Amino acid sequence: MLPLPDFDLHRPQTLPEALRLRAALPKARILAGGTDLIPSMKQGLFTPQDVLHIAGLAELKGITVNADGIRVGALTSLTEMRRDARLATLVPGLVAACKSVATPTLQNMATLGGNLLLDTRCRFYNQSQFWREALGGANAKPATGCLKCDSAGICHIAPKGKGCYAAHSADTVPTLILLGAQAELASVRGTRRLAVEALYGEDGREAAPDRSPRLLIAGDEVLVAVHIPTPTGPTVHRKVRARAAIDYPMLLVAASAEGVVLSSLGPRPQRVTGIQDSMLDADIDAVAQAAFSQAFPLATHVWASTWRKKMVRVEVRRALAELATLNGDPR
Amino acid sequence: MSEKTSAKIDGLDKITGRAQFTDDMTRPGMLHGAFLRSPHAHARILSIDTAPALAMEGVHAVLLGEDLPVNYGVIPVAMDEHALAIDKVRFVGEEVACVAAVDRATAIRASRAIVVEYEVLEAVLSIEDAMNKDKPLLHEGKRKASNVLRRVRQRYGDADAGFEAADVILEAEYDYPGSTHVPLETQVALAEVTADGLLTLFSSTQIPHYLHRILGRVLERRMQDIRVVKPHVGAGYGGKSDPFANELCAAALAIRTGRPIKIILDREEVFYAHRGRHRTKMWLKMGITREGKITAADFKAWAEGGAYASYGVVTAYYFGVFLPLPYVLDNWRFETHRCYTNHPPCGPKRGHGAIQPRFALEQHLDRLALEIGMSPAKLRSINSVQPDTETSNGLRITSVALNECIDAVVKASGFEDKVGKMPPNRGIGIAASAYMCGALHAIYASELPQSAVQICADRSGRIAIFSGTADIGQGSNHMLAQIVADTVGIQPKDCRVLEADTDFTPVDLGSYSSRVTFFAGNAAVRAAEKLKAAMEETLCKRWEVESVRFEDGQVHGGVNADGEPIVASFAQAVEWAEQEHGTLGFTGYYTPPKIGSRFRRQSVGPSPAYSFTAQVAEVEVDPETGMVKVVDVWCAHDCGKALNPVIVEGQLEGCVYMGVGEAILEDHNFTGPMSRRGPLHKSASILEYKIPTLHETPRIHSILVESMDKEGPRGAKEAGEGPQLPTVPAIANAIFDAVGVRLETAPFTPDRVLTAIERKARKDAKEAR
Repeated sequence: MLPLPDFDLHRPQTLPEALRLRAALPKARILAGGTDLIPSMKQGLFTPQDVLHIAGLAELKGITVNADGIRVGALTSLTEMRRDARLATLVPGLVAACKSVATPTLQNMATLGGNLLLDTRCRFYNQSQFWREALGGANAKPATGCLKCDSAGICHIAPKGKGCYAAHSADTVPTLILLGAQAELASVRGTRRLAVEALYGEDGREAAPDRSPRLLIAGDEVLVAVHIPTPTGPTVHRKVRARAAIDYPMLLVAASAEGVVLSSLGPRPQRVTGIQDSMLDADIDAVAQAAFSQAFPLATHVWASTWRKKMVRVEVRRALAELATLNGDPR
Repeated sequence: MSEKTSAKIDGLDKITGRAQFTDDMTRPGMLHGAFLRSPHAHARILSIDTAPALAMEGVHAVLLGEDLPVNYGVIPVAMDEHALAIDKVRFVGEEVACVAAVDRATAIRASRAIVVEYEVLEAVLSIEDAMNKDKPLLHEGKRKASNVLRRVRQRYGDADAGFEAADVILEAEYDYPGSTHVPLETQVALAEVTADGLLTLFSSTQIPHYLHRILGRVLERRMQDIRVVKPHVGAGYGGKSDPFANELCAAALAIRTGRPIKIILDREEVFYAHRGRHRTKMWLKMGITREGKITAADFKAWAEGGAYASYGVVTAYYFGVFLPLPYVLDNWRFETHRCYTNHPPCGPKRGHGAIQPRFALEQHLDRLALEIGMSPAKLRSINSVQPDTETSNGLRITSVALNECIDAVVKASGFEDKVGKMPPNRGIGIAASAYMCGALHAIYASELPQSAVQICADRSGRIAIFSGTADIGQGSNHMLAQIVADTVGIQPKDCRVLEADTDFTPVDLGSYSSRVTFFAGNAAVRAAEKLKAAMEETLCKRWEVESVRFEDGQVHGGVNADGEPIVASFAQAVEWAEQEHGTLGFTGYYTPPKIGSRFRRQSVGPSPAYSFTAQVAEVEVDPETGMVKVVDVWCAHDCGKALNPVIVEGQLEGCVYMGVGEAILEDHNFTGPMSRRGPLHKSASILEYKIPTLHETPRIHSILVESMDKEGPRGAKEAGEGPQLPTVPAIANAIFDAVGVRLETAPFTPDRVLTAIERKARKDAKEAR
């Protein structure tokens, strides 16, 4: 088995303590459920000196529903979410997205916060240290390691491109975007809210010259909760993957009256643009065509990107048909 | 004979976590090993500097290729391997050095500190490369300067005359992907040397005996100073049928350091150890009469084998030798090649050497059936081999229940009412096959017993069974216990099986080529019958009766003069027999019959018996995505006799499951020229190497057909490999039935299926215009 590298583990018990530590240790990694962080640390993608294990923070747990809407604490597990009767009634599309993550055993550990902040993924990046070195690390001349691991490397997906195109792979995010969800971010400086849609930058890396980084949150901020306004209609979540369990998405499509969001095509989710304001009376084929022409999947996945592009049209059409059915539209 | 299915004797221990696997074992002062592996597909090693590693705290030793210079290989005619690379590396992931350190993390860190200077060589990455004489040789200094390990050409009857006699002739090319075994337990070995100089190696292996021999050869140590023990094993499927670097290096490092050492492979390393299915390109031409009689076949195959031979010579033979079975074919020829390429070495995987030709031939038969307007089920039935015959290539056929299998799946699935008549995008397909029950000829030529069992009964009423077989989860221990228990009317749980310990168990060649039930089972029958005979003699004398009956833990002698039953407990009966005969120890062994063949060269392929399978698969294809859902598979298998029906059904289900994975998902493949250093594994993890989950697994309907083989133990034949053979072509045929596209390349991934559907739509549209 791959051993974990050594690190110092910090276990704050209150949010203020966690925020102080976060500010003091800007290079620390935050450990919540660990389903993404631990395998990546074993692969040597991160070798932090400090790990902040925040699982003890009561402030970050639980689901509350009131007139303002829904608040889900960042440490709420996906299993808790998919078992919550209120969420099942109010946001079935989000519950479906939670159910589609990995497997039930991973959902027990994985948190909503972790899913929002999930690292971008790529077939040249999510590999062992040996594999990545064989690809051509810093010692190779010229350096041909993966750009996301090694700033001296190249992007093996788009060698002539400007940055890293690793794919956003967070199953819950497209649905949350359509629900108008906001992320509550806390730091020693205070608390702010940011639309989930505005969390993500254009590059797959944590820091990228000339491009916005994968997460647009400050180094001292901790994701505390996700706020979802009371929904006015259904949201549909569709996920394309090789197998009906375990796998990360090759394409995500969410649809509601508000529009259509695609993801797993690049470092951040994208709204389909140039379509009607409401999907309730949308011309399904026209929206699907718009989505198709705006989707540029790259070879971040083992399965062919040409096929993934074709799936955009199919899945958007299916999502909108499903949405119409949920809205009682006989089409 | 008890017909009851008894619970597997080690089942509860396994599901409650009590069973000890090699990685559960530990020893005081035990070291851990880790490998430095080649980052290059093909390179010359110019220098290796181990000093930085040796200088690290906690590092005890570093082993290099030159420390173990003796070559080896599981097949004596192709011993092209070394424990660690010498002079050259031949694939990304090949072991270059092995570090022994106080813990695994230190060993891994130290392995990274070793500095190797390489001269990168051009790599041979495909069958085309391997057949190209201008490409560099993987193995220099061989008799023939070629990257073809073995070419086999055979001809039987007169293929040209056969084609003349055909009404329809069809030619097509097929491409079958590589795949790997993915056993739950990775390879792991623990070695220790005791004060008396005995080297003991515990290992997760299918072949304790061959491993024993090869340890002796490579370590240049007397075999009586080496003991190989196989603890519980978490499956193999053929992937643990070779000796591996972790076994040889653990042994060598235990000797060098004087400390016990464990070397476990992580999951990625198992993809480099590989020995899985060969990616194979095939060309097949077949002729058939209007009445459905197959008249001729011509077959060519090129298998991409990776960097070392493993069982590759055998693969090249099996491709051809098993091509016609289960059908009669008198006029045919084949030419097969097994090549070297700069990829992890291929070897035997469930259905070794037979999966690929079945993929081609069973699709071909469907196409021919369509041409002549005959039911594909009937076409298979009328060409079936018959019991007690000999095939044109000299295989002795004994028991055959193929047509019963075909009838059973056709009836259970409603095949004839469904084929060609299902709703859109739904389809059904059939395929059939035969497989060996162990090889007539051992891997190393000898006339020694190939399986042996020793049993010992004593007054406690239990029977101890000693056997060199390797239970890797398939249930061979239970098979031995059940055969012995049934013979003398006791429960399997009252038999204790000690297996796979070369110090204490008689030699058995191992768990491969579906040999264990047939070979070791026969050995167990013979030993048990001797015990029974000794007990019968004692009891008949004592009770003055003609015969006795062993049943339900008792021995019955009928009734006495007063009409009272004569009966004794089994333990009592053993005690009386022990009094008369002394300690009750008996042996049984199995050496396959000497079956003469008209063909002297036919040494690879013949088996004492063959199993037969027919399968029907029903699929649903999503014409917009190309996703294939295998809904149902009906699998009827002629296993001779189901000694334990639940275990046999488990094997059938496992075979279909694996076949479904190879059909729709699995592709053991490599990145192209994108990576500067050549081919990296595309999916060296079980996240990215897609084996089916429960969701992708169809409903599997197992049907056991019993032909009662005359030479099989209690009539039994194999069930562990044969049932995988028809799965992929049955699914291919079902996809054709569903959407009208013929998939000559597997796996049937959505991209491939959708592309084929789109191509057909364009063609149909063009024809309509």
